Amino acid sequence: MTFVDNYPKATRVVKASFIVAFIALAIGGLFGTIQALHRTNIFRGFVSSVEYYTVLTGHGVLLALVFTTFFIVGLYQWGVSRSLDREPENMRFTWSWFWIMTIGTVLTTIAIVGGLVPGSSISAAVLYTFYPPLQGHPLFYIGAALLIIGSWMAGADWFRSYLVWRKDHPDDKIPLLTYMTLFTMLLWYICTIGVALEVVVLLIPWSLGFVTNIDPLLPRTLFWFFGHAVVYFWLLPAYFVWYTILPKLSGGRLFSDSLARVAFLLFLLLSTPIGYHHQYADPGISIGFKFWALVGTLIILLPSLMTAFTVISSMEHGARQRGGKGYFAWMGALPWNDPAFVGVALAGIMFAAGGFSGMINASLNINMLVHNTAWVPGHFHLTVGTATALTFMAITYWILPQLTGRTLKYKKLALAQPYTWFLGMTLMSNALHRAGLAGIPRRTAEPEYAGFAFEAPFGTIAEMKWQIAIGGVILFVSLVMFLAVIVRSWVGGERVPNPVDDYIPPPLSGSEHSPAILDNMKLWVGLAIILVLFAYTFPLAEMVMDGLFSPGAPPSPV
Amino acid sequence: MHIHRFEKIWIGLSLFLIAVCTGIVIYGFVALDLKVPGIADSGTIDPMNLAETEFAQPGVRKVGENEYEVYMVARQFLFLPGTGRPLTLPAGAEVTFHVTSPDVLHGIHVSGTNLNTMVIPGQVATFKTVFPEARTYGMICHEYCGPAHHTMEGLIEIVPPSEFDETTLLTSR
Amino acid sequence: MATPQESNAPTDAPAAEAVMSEERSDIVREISLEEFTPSGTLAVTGAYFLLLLVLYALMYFVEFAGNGPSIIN
Repeated sequence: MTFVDNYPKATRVVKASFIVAFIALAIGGLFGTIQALHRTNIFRGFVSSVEYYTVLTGHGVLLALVFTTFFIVGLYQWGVSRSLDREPENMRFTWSWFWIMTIGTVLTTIAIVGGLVPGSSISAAVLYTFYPPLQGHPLFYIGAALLIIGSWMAGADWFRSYLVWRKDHPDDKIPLLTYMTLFTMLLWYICTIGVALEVVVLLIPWSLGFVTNIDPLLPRTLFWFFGHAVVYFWLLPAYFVWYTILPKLSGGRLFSDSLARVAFLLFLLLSTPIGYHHQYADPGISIGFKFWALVGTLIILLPSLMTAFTVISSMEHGARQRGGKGYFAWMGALPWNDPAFVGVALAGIMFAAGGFSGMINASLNINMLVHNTAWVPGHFHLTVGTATALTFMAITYWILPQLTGRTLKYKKLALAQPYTWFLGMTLMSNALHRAGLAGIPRRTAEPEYAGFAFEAPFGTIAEMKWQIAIGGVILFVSLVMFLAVIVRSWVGGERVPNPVDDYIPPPLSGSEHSPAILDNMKLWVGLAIILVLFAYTFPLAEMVMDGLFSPGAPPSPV
Repeated sequence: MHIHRFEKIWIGLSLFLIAVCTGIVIYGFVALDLKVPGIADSGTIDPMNLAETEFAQPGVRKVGENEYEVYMVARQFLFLPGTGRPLTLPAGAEVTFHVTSPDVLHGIHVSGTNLNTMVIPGQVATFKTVFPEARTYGMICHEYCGPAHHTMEGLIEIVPPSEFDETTLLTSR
Repeated sequence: MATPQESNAPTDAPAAEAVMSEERSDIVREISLEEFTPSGTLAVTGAYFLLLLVLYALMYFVEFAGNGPSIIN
């Protein structure tokens, strides 16, 4: 008996979400490889340098917004059904959020890919940040709004299950998998207010021509109200895996249930009010609020550093139960031959490096050294591109058998896949970071300039180009390996009663040690809203006071 | 709540790290004069009517002994001044840049330096610096601004003060 | 075996137990909360802490502060 036998209805929606996620991953990954070859000038035959920006938009939207969101709703549906021991309350509602998200994704994708069709009047080469006055086709914004609305409904579905569960369990602590799901969704509700206002109130009417001009700073600020918290929306599901599943894969148990809860509620409190740290280089935002973002961003290191300790100690517990010894040698006792473990562990190691470059990004004035350089994609390919993406891929090796009732096939290929990803990302990311220090910009089809040449502080420009291009190709190979394993296992795995050991042992220090206040959602949401109001009321009021659409600039269709 | 003694040590170290990083940034900001762009005193301007502002005539103005102001317009896909003919400035002078855009978001990164700002229509990016030595710097747009974004570049030529040709200066309004 | 505080569903219990006895043969001994001292974790995170501190200072004072001209106001 595994998940599919216990929760057949939930299984279908999880599988459907994973299918959309993996299609987005395949297309987005292909686009990424084209970019790696194009911008390094290794091969520019796939697209023109104008179409490059359409490909870049597709890469960002399909991976950072679509792949992540669909995988997350699938993963969280799995976690909620399993930990509350419930099917969704009303399948019609559950399928309606899935289809609203999917229709939104299709509309947005049509708007983007239209830019690659000769003679098409549809295009949206606005990148995934879609800063106006660059203007995409209205379908781009409408689709994005539907994707977000669908994800809100998914969250509502899980809260509904929780409330029903609560009636039967008035005194229990919230099961950890559900706790993490609900807190992530609370964060998501708060931060998406920004982007929903931006898209629905400003961009959709503007893209449809109801208003002509737009004030560029206001939508940009609303985007970043959402745009930093969204990285925690990507990251917290990876933490969900690291806290609850990785200890088991390591052969151990979660060290502390309470600290896991503390980390999640700190993210709920801190992740939205610090969005300004993406606007350190912006005129029109006062230095006081930039300082607030600096302090808030550095404090949000705390839940991540706490996570590092709790997760590593849970792995150490597993390693010692498996006979590991010493201060460092215990790591050798971990199951380095289990694809799910290896992928999640390597994702964690890369996140440690990404954490460092993130500290640099966060630190106000040193941001001037790296702002909008290749350093930034170097950073987030370690975080969302590996900590999140590789965790999602690897945990699929463990969850998919629970959804299909079939064993994993191509196990050696599956084992090689995370190592391949790690290698490709090491090459690409280190070179992107160093290219950024040399001043090479991000988001550029041809980072070569007529008047001057870049000077590299570490290594040479030519060597960086090759590392980026080769790294990008290796990442694509790894992606193909992943898809091969998944497709083959999905249709060709052997049906057995227990295709994978899906038992999760209880934490060493369990929820009986967790203070009840950690489960008080009203308290933490209230505090989170107060912090957001403190950070955003004054600057937004200032931008809105002179008129929603002014100072207005005319649209620039791309 | 059960917290292992090692984990308490780790939380202490984490808080220490956060404090040290905050301290370093504040030290750099205050003592080393490493600043970031902020709100311009002039407030917002109308991007569709730059002709009625100082940006009607982009260029360099002398505002004091060894003090200059640069009014620059970044637009699809050039910097004025900077693209085509280099922006020329004397070494060692205090230079204040004022940059705005009439169309879309742009950015300026003076390559190989910490001079880096967004350029946003309706806002004026203002920052002061000193170029200590005579040399030429490349300047690029670092925010995607449309199909020819990758061609948007300019040059800043820093010359010894004795060679600086003041006849290129604009007269103040 | 399913304690009430367990973080996952009680329905895991029956089937999972059978699987567990087979597959968890890699565990040579159970270590309880009281017995467990995460000294390896303190060593790993302590090394990471030192690395962060040194790299951050180097990036700030050498790469950044030495990369002038900078914005001074």
